[in-house]
Amino acid sequence: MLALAGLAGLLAPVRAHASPEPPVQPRLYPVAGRFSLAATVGISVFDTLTRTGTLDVRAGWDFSDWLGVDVTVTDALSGHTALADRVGQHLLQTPAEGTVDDLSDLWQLKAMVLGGVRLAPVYGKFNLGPDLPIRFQAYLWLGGGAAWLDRTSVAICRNVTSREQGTCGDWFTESRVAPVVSGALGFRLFTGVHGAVVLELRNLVWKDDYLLGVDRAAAEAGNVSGHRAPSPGFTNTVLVDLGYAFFF
Amino acid sequence: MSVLGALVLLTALGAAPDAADPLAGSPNLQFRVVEPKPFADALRHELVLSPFVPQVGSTFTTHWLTSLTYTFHATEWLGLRIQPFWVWHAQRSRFSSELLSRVRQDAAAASSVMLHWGAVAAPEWAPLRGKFAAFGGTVRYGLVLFAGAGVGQTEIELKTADAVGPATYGSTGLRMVATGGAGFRVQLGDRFTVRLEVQDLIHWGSVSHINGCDATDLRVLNDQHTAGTVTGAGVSAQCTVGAFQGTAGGYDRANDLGIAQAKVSEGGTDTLHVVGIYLGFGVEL
Repeated sequence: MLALAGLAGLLAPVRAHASPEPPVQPRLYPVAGRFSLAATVGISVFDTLTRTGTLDVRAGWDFSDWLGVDVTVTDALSGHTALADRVGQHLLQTPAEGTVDDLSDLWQLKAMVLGGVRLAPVYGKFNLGPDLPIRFQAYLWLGGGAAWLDRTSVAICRNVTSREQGTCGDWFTESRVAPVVSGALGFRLFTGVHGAVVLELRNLVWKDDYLLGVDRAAAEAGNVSGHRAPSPGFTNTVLVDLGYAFFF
Repeated sequence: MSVLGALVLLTALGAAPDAADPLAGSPNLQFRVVEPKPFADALRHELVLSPFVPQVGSTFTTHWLTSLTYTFHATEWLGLRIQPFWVWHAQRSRFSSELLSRVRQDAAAASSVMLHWGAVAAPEWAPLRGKFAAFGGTVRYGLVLFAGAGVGQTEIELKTADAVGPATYGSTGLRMVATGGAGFRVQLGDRFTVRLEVQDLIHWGSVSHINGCDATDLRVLNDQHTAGTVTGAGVSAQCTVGAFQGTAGGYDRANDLGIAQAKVSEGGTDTLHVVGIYLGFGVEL
């Protein structure tokens, strides 16, 4: 009995000191109940036929440290990739016989308004070098809105300027406003109480729409025929956004 | 493996991780401002299986693969990884199929080469470690960066799947593969890890041989096919004539000869990227 008591006496303090509790540091940069204003620039990645650059202005409100909402207004510069231009050029170099189906995923983003919910379950820190701890918040974002889209075909030309060179003076173009769904995975890297660097990977999805069975000869005479694709699918655009957020 | 490599491996296998904490018994220790790393990595071995790796951002080809990564952690922040991979689904991308069917254009042969299997080795650097609070718990993680090289077996699609028969492929040989990537490694206790990495497998070159046959071999074989029978007489020893004989799902493989000859004669080179998302589950020994 005495031996057991002695053993317990020996073990108890050792156990207490073997894993001392680290001090619990309060959240250094709470965002609950704060308004934020952010500006970000973005570029599209994994481009096939179109490429996009964006400029966002984003207003947000954080209900708590892990839940907030954002409204984003986006202006975009977009265009065809070199691959899309080559596809169009090579097609025009062939004789205008029969019909052609237009390609999918050619709608280009021009402007967008998005609203969504930001869920930020992760708050942590890492050390950038020995003396620079960075506090961050990781978040998932889900929302939707409206996108202003333009489309320039690479298969339907209304005025072939050179068959040999494969150049077109008037590609078939369309415009529309479409609903868009967006999801994002992002980080707020706090630089202080009033600001954070924003880095995120954002996905934009909208329904595609294009023509099938277009008579090439008629189109080159200015009469675009054909029918809408019955199941056009969805266009998926991935953007990397980088910006800065101010907290008020 | 060299003698030196074997010695390093044996030493590593015999070494025990040093987890001794000099302050563990100190009666003067109340709080730790700098918290020690609870799970040591140095001189330990980690095996990570990424069962399903989808390629992202593909243009002309699509790869799905499985990868097994062995990492020897030489120190807490530096390791060496060896990673065999097997591509169990490689085919023409939806975009490439659309190009072919709608505007009758095909990607250049050099841009259509696909990885089949391979292995890469790379030093791994873990410059950042941290922890975060999530759903009431604490998760410890590290950022890992790696870059290295290896080899990969490649192939090219000769015929798309259609009513005539299944898709057929020809080997385009072993190629050097460069790799680079970054990701997060989360430790779950002393034994288990979860990794989420983005990795690029880069290979490059031209299509000069298909199934070991160069343009001259393929011309000879194609002439034999036109004459009636592919005998394989007069071609180089490296040329695998059997790959162009017999049938596949009712499709006469000799019909691939014309396509193979056209692809080898195309010329041109390209650098191809297979960027994948690797979600892996690991055990540390």
